[in-house]
Amino acid sequence: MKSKIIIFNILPLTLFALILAVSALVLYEVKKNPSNQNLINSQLIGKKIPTIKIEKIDFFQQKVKDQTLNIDKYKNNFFAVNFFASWCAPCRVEAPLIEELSKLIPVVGIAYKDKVKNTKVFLEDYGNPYDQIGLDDFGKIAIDWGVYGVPETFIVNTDGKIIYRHAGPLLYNVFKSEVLPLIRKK
Amino acid sequence: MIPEIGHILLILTFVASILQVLFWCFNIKKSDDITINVLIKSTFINFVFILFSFGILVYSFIISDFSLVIVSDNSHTLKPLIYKISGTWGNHEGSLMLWILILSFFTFLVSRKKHQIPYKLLSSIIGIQTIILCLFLSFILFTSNPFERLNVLPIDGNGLNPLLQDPGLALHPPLLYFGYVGLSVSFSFAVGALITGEINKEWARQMRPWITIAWSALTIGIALGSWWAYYELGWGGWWFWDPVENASFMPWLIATALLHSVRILEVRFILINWTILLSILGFSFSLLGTFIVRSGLLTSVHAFASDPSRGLFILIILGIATGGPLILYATKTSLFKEDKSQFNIISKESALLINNLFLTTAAATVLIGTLYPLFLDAFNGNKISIGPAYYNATFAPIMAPVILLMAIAPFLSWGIKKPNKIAKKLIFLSVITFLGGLGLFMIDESSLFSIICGSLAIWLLTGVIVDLTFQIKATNLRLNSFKAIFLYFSKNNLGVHIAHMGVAVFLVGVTGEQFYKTEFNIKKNVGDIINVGNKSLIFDKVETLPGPNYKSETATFTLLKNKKIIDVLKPEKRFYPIEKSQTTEAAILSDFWGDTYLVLGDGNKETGWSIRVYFNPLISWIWGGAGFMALGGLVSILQSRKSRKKLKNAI
Repeated sequence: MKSKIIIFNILPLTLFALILAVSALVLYEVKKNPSNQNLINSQLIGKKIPTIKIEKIDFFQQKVKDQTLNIDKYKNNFFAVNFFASWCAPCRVEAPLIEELSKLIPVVGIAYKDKVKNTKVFLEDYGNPYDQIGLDDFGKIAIDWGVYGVPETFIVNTDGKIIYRHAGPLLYNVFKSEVLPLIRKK
Repeated sequence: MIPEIGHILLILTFVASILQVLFWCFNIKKSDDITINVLIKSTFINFVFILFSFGILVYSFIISDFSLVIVSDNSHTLKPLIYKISGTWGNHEGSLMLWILILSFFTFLVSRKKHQIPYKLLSSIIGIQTIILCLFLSFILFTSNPFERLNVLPIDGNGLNPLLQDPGLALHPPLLYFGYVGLSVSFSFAVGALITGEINKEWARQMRPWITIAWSALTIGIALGSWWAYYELGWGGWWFWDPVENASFMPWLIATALLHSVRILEVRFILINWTILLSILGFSFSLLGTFIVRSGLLTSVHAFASDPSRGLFILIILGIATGGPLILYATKTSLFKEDKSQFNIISKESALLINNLFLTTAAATVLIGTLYPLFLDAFNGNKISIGPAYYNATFAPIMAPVILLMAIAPFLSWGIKKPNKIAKKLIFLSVITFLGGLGLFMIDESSLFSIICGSLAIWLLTGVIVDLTFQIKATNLRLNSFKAIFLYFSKNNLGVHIAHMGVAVFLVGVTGEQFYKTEFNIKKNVGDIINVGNKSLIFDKVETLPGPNYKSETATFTLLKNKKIIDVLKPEKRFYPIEKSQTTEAAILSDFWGDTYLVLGDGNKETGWSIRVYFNPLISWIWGGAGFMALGGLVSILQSRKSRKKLKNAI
C-alpha cells in the first residue's frame, strides 16, 4: 500500500521530466542548424528536390485529373514551390506576394490538407498565381519536404536543387531583401 | 528619454523582486505581522512599477515613437488609435509585458486578502508568485527587451498585420492572459500548501474564486479567438485544432477539472493530492502553451513570434516552475490526511470525480496530439501532422460521458445523504431526450452523429431545467416577484446551472454548425439574384471606398426573406498598402437561428465576382454558450462572496 502511494506521487514528476527532456532535445535540434532567415532549418537546402508525385487539380473541371504534376518541364529553369491551404490565414496575407513572385518565375502550388472545393474558392478570392497545382490532401508531400506548416515557399535553381526556403508568409521585406536577389542572380 | 524610464523601472522591479524572494526564503518559517507586511508592501511596489512601465510602452505606441524597435516593427502613424494601443500586445515583447502586468496585478490582489488567508500560507503564495515574476522579468530583460532603441530613426513604421487589426483580436490576448496568469494563483495556493504542510477546507474555499475567475476569462478569451477566426478568415469555420488553439484549450480543460475537484475538497475533504496536482498542472499547461507558441517548434496560424533561443528560456522557466513543485509534490503529499470515511458511489463527489478523470484524459489526448509530431521528429526525423480526424476520433468520445454525467451530477447529494427524487428526475430527463432524439431523427436520419450530438445537448439542457424546477417545487416558494426569484437563486448554485446551460447551448450550436450548414460558391455580376430556399440575395453594386489605412472594395447585397427586405449585406475586400496585404471582411447577418455569411471573392465588371454564401444554422449559439459558461463562473463568484459575508455577519 505504502509503495503504491509513492509511485503515484512520483509519477507526475517522471512524466514531466520526460516531456521536458524531449522538448529540450527537439529545441536543441532546431537550434543546432538555424537557417539564416527563419531560424527553422531545412536540411534540404543545396539538395535535389524530393519527388512530387501528386495529382494535379484542374479547377475548370472541378475535379482531380488523373495526371501528376509535371516538374520536368522546369528543367534548367528556376521555379518556386509554395505550400498553401485555403484554411490558412497567413496564406491570405502572402497571396499578393506570391502573385508578384509568379511574374518572375513559375510557381508550383501545393494545396496542403485541403479540399478541392475550398482550394478553388481560395484561388477565386485571392487569384491564381500558380503554374500548376497539386493536392496534398494527407500532407504526405509536405512531410517529404520537411514543411513545418503552411505557408512555406521553396526556390529551386537550374540544377533542380533547393536554394532557398522560407517558412511562414512571404512578406514584402523578406521578398525584397532575400527572394529578389536570389532570382536576379540567375 | 521616456522609454528609458520604462526600462529602468523594469530593472528596478527585477532587483526588488529578487530581494523579495530572498527575504521570503530567509523568513519562510515566520508568520509575524512585520514579515507579511514587508511582502505585501513590496508586492504593491512591484505592481505599480510594472504598471508604469507598461503605461510607458502603451504611450510610446500612441505617440508612434518609432525610435523603439517594437513600435516601428508593429505600428504605423495611419493606424487607428485603438489598434495602436492593441498593437502594444500584438507582438512578442509587448505581450510578455502584458503577461507580467497581469501576474503582478493578481499577486497584488491576493496580497490584499491578509484577513482571510493565514499568514503562513499568504507569505508562501506571495513568495511563489514573485519567483514566477522574477523568471518572466529575466526573460524580458535578457531576451526580449521591449524598450530597445533603433539606431536609425525610420520615417514610418511597418504596420501591424492587417488580420490582427480587429476589435475581437484586440481583446483576445488580454483575456487569454488573464486566464493563463490567473491560474498562477491556484498554483501558488497549491505550492503554498505543500510548503506549509497545512491544508483544510478553508484553503479550498479561499482558492476557488481565483480558479473560477481565471476559468471564466479563459473561456471568453478562447471564444473570442474562435469568433475572430470565424468572421475574419472568411471560410466559415470556428475551430481548427491548431497547436496554438490546443495550447489554450488544455489549461481550460484542466481548470474545468480543478474547478470541480476543489469543490469536492471544500465540501468533503477528499482528493487533496489530486486537487494539488491539478493546480500545479493548470499553470504548467499555461506555461507549456507559451512555450509552444513562442519557441517556433510548431508553426501555425499564430506563429508570429517564434525564436528558438527564447524557446530555451521558456523551457527553463517551465522546468523550474513545474519541476520544483512536482518534486515537492512527490515528497510531501503523503503528509496530508484525507477524510476517508463514508464514500458513497452514488453521490455528487463520485460523479464529479469521474468527470474529473474524463476531463484530464481529454486534456492528455489533446496534449498527445499536440506534442506527438514533435517527439516523433526528435526521435526518428519523421514529420507528421495531426489534424481534426484524430481529435474527432479521440476527443469527442471522451467528452460524451462527461456531458451525460454533467446533467445528472447536480441531482445527486454530497456524501451518503439520500438523493432527492432522483429516479423521477431521471425518467423525466430520459423521456424528453428520447423524444428530442426522435425529432432529430425525423429531420435528418442520415447522420447518426448529428443525432447523438443533438441529443446530448437536449439531455443537458433538460437536465438543468428539470433540476431548477424541482428545486423550486421542493422549497415551495412563491416566485411571484423579481425579488423573490433573485433571493431564491442567490441561495442556490445558480452559477453552476448557468455554466452547464452554457455547455448545452454550445452543443446546440455545434450540432447546427457541424451537421446542418449549407454553403455554395457562384460567379455573379451586378444585378443578379441568388435564390436559396425562401431567401434571396440581390447583388446591387460594387464600389471602391477609402478606409483609414486601407482601400476597400465593397459589394452591396439586399437580403430578402419571403420577398420582404430583411437587411443589406456589405462584404468587403480590404487592401492594406503599407503591409502590402489584403483581408476579406465577410458580411455576416447573425440572428438567433443562424448566420448568413457572405464573402466577396476576386472579380471585375466584365466577368462578375465570385461569391461565397454560407448558411450556418445556430452558429452564434457556440459563442453564446461560451458567454453563458463565463457568466456562470462570475455568478458563482458573487454568490460565494455573498455567502462569505453572511457567514461573517453570523459570527
